[in-house]
Amino acid sequence: MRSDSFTTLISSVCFAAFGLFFGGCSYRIEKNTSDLNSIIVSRESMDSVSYQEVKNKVFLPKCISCHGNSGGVNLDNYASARSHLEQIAKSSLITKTMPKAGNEPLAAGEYLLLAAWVKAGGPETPLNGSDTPPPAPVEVLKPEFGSIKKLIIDRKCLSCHKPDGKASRVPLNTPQEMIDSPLEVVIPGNADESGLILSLDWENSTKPMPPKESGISQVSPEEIQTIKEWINKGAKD
Amino acid sequence: MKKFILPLFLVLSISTSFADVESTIAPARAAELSSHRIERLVNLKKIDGTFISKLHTIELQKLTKNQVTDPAYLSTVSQYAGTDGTKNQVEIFFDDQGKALSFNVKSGSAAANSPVWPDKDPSTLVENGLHFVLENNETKAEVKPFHTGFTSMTLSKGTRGGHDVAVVKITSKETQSDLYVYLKMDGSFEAYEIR
Repeated sequence: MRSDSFTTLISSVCFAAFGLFFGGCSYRIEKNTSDLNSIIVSRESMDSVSYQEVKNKVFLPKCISCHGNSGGVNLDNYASARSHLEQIAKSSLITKTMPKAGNEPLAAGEYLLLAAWVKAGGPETPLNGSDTPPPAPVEVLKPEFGSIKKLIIDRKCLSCHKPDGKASRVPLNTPQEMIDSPLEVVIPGNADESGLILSLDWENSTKPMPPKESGISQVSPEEIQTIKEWINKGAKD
Repeated sequence: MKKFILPLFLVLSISTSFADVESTIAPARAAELSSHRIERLVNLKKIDGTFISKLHTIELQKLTKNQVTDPAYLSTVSQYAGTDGTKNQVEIFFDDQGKALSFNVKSGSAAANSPVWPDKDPSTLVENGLHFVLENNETKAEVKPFHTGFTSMTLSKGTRGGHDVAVVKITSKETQSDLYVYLKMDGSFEAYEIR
């Protein structure tokens, strides 16, 4: 009887050690994920994760350029993101169809952080009561081409307006390309008649950009105003 | 010395202007830019929105340039004709690189019998039809004459295989045949034929 208990104890210790070694503090991504249960994340990471951390580290860099205010799945605020938890799990963790092909996929750390959040039930604040991280500093758009390229063009335009993209006829890589375009994408000093500004106006444009069907969220009025300022100041490089 | 420099300057100026002429965009590209220009003028509220919704034809004329600054193309964009046979038109002048220089509206009566386009507007359909020419003129020899010799484009609604299609008919001065580009109502390419 004592021997049986001893054997059971040893087995339990070995099992626990095995579990701790392979699963405790490390993460694992299955190549062919069939469901959420096959994604292994630690209890600790599930307890400490919060919406804000996921937003800072996953949604902002990888998702919100499309899943912002476009009218579809909005990940920019907690209530909306939480209401789409199942869709997030399916598209980003199980089928891995998000981010869409052609965009940078989730890195391992991003994937596992998102998985921990989803498996924890999508908490707004950490379940263990620890502090919620502060919002990531938002880079403010400036009326300079470098800033506009980084925060608007690269995120919202280049998936189509790249050299082999379906809108390659309208290149947006440099101010000179936009000025030289027969489509008058940019008319220095005349933002109101520049194609770039006209197309960003979803209410009045005959071909609003980014196209509504692309799912990419629209450029905000404040951002459009900043781009106008850059054009009216001469659209310098 | 002055006697030598002046003629040299003139020779250089003339060769520069010829170089400009040589780099003129293809007629099919000028036609495609016409439909873009129409959209821009509508967006700017300089012409009526019916130039998009009732667009019917684009006719292109290559102009003889006497000076470098002269327009290279005149594009006439027409709506469907009204009951009295007249139609609303916009003439657009383009430079060698396809930049619009000026436009002129010629008023006719309101378009009659213009098709209803359920999904994409006529301007988008025309663009997509012309994109077929721009994208295939180098790989499909039979398409090339419609790129380099484009004279006109007509948009109409037809049926093909039991469903509605947009038919973009393109004529060329380089061939007796016409190019027909068939597009689905969502603007995507379906087929083409030359006859």
